[in-house]
Amino acid sequence: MSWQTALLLFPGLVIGLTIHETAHALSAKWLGDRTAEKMGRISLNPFRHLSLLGTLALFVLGFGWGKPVTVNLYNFKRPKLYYFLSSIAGPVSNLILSAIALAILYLNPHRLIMWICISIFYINAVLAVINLLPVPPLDGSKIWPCIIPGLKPTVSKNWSRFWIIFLLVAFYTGLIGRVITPVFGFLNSLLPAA
Amino acid sequence: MTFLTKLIAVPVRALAKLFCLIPIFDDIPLWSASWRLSFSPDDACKLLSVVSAKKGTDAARRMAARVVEKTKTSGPAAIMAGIEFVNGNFDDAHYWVKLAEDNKYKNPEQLLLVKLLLSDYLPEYEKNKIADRILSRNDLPMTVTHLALISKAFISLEKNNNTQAEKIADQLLSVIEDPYARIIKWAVCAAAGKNALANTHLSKAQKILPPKTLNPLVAQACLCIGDDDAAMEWLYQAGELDYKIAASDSPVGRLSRSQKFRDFRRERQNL
Repeated sequence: MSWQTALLLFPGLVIGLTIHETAHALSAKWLGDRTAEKMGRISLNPFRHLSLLGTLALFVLGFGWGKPVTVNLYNFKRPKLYYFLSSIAGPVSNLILSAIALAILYLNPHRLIMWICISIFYINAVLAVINLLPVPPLDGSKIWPCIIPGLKPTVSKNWSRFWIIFLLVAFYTGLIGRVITPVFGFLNSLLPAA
Repeated sequence: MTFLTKLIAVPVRALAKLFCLIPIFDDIPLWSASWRLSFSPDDACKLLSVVSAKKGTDAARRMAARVVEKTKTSGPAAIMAGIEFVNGNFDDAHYWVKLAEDNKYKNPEQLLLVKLLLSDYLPEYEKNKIADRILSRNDLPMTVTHLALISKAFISLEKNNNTQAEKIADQLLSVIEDPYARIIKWAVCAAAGKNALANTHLSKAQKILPPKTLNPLVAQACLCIGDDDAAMEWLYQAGELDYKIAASDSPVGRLSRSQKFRDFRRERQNL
């Protein structure tokens, strides 16, 4: 990804990650766990959520991530269901944000607002899709074990290592590109004609 | 001024994190600068951890006195107490806990983990009460709650409240395949004479924990259900005990130091 494109996507990433992580923390609080709130993660201050590596990854990989929100599953009355809900809250918040940005784009806004909205629209849609992959530390690694019967919500370290190796292989063999390219194609088709 | 210094601390912290990834650079001056700029408890904790890991406990101790006093929160004191605990300096760990408590530093709940750990070694700390305090909160990290639940389950076993112990084990197992919970389930089943089911739980625990860690825990569970002979057998199988277990005031620690166990070991070695 070029520096120009990455810089264009940067405001979307900052807004997207902030809302994403806050959604995890807020939903966990609503479901009975205040660990993330205590750590100051229910906040719209981006510095509380952005991670150094995750931000740099935007410029290298084309997507980024924030500091993971800490959740204490023992505080949930129904750990599997509530962990699923607090984990899916992040990608759902990105989809909502993306939909709002798209709706604003259809109102034919000022050029500057238009660019910001395009940035928010793209990066949040990509964040939502990428986060559904079952690879740690992405949300999918927490979401899928909660859905698949017989699995426990917290998986072992060996399982995590397997997926990290899978992610590296997928990245270098172009498999990630095959996931992202159709997503971008679909997103392009949603944009209003210039 | 505070806002400005905190803002300057952001890139300094980012650089320190970057230096952490590249071990050829010394990141201690950067963590120190970040803490001096922000006076944030998180920076203080990180600074103490890094100094302890790279320059040793004595260097961390020298730095901690000023850091703890300046931040006035319990987090750095808890980190320092944790470092002392890991090194087996239980009285020094107690000193940091007392310092934070006597000065009524903010966030005293951050001391609960180290207090729970110290409860096996120092009579000032009452395990059951500390575990209850941890479990009454819903804002502590998962590892802390996990340890408190295990402690409560073993206490329940000791009090012959096997139903409660099994309930706690089920709560642990609803979240993760936990070997400690399996050992508790093993003890409950063994006490009820359900040997086949008990062995299933034990074999699941054995898949996760190495014998050196597992055997003293099973010995502890045996002591809790009143089977002293089995406890001595498991403890003997554990071989040379970790010095922390041997020094602890837990039932298994006391057993390991007892004359009864010394005689048992001598007898087995002579066979």
